[in-house]
Amino acid sequence: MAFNPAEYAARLQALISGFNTQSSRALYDNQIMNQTGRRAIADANAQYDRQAPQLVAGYGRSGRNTANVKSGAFSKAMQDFAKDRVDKTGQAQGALDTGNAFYQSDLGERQAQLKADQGVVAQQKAQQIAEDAGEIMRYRAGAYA
Amino acid sequence: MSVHNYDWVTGAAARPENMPRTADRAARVGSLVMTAAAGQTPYNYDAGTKAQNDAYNKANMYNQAGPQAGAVDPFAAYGGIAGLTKMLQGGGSGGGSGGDSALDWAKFNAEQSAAKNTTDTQLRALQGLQGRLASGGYRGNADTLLGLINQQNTQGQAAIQGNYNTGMGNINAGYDTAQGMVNTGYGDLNKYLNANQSNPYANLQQQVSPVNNAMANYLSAYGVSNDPVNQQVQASQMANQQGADSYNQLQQLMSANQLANNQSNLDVSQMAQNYATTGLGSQRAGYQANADTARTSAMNQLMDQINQARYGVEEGVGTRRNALEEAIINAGGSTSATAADVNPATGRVDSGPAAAGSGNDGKKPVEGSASARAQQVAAAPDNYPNFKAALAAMNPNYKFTTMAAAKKKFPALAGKF
Repeated sequence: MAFNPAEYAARLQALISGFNTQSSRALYDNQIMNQTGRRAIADANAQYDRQAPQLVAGYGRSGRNTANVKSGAFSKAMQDFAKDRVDKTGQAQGALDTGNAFYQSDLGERQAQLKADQGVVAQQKAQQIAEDAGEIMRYRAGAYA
Repeated sequence: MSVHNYDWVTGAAARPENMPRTADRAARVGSLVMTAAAGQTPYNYDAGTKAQNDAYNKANMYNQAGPQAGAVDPFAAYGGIAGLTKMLQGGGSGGGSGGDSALDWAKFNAEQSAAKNTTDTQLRALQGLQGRLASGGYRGNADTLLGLINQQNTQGQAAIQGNYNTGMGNINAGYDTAQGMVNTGYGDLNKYLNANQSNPYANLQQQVSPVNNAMANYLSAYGVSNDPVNQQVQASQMANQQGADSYNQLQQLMSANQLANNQSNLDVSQMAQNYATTGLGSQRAGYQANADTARTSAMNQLMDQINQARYGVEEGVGTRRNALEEAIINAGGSTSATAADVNPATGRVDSGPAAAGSGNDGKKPVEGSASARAQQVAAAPDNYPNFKAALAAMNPNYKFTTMAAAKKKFPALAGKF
């Protein structure tokens, strides 16, 4: 089978098309993930912001959080509430960062695979040309081949 | 036929042992001629006794008249009496002539002449055969054929070598083309690989977003300490950082693998190029070996054909030479003559020790021939006391002036004294 430039170009184009399709899909998934993640964080913060006054009011009604009384229970409840908010939003942000990082990693991996596939095609091209060269040489040798 | 057999020769003088000397022979011949001219039975009075002579006279009517003038000359065929006399005097050895008729003498002379002619013809034929053997004439057109064979050999070798050169040229040209294609193909690959030595993992770093205490001011407003919350911020930040560090370590590992793979691809490409180049070289070597083998085979085949043809020609030459030598030997000739012995004018070997008729081969030398002359010169010291005597005897017509001139004129003879 002699080297066919058109077939070679088609294979390269197929590789690039496949890469582009996968990358586009991954990018879309990543954007969805970021939107979802950021919205979740925003929702959590909004929820914490709404619950904080209720928590303060609850301790006020029980007389454990007045102008003259600052009970230890109130302080601990507020600190736990704040720590929980930090923990939850931190985890969510961390997960988002990890998702973005793996998206980049996935993109790089697909890019590396594309290069590798292109390299294989280029190697096959060179190999085919080498075989064709040997065949041409055999033709030239004629009866001595 | 010998004169001894004639009935008129009855005396003792007719026997070979009593052959007359020259003077006796002249007298005898004269007597014979005289009686024959008288129309009588030829008779030698000198050889007979008185009684015999008387008896002869009586028997032949001595007192009868002789032949009349104007009668037919019975010896006209021999130039008359004088001619017959001369002929008989020049006759070889043997007894005297007696009562043969003119017809008998003519027959005798004709036989002698025919015999001499036959001998001369055979001698010339033998000398011709010797000449053909010595000069190599028996080879016929063998040398021409050998020349054609050599020409065929030269042309054949040139054709074979030409085919070989053409084949080798095509092989080398094919190799150059193939090598160029390999270089181009793998050159493009190497170019591509070098241009795409990217490492997608090289700059990948997971970004760690900062964790904040969003309620710091809120807690402070209620007089609640933020310290425990800040500890949670640090813990969460650390947890996220640890995840990012693990990721980054993974990226470094992947990056290293990618770099190694890139280098491996380059190495593989170069190895494949070397492999292809080596393969082409081996392929070319194989084709060249085939060409060498084909040339050697063709050369050997050509040599076999040439040798076969040469053998056939030389075999024919050998057969002809053997036949020629056998013919010469059977004719009593010598086969030792060389090309220098061949007379270029006649193509025969008519002189020299190996020449037929030279005496060495048992045949009588042809009188006056070169071989006879050479024999005379060789025998001169035995026959003559000095050069001058030999010169006078062997060259009676030479006008002697000085010894130096004579020796210069006859160097071979002079060399014998």
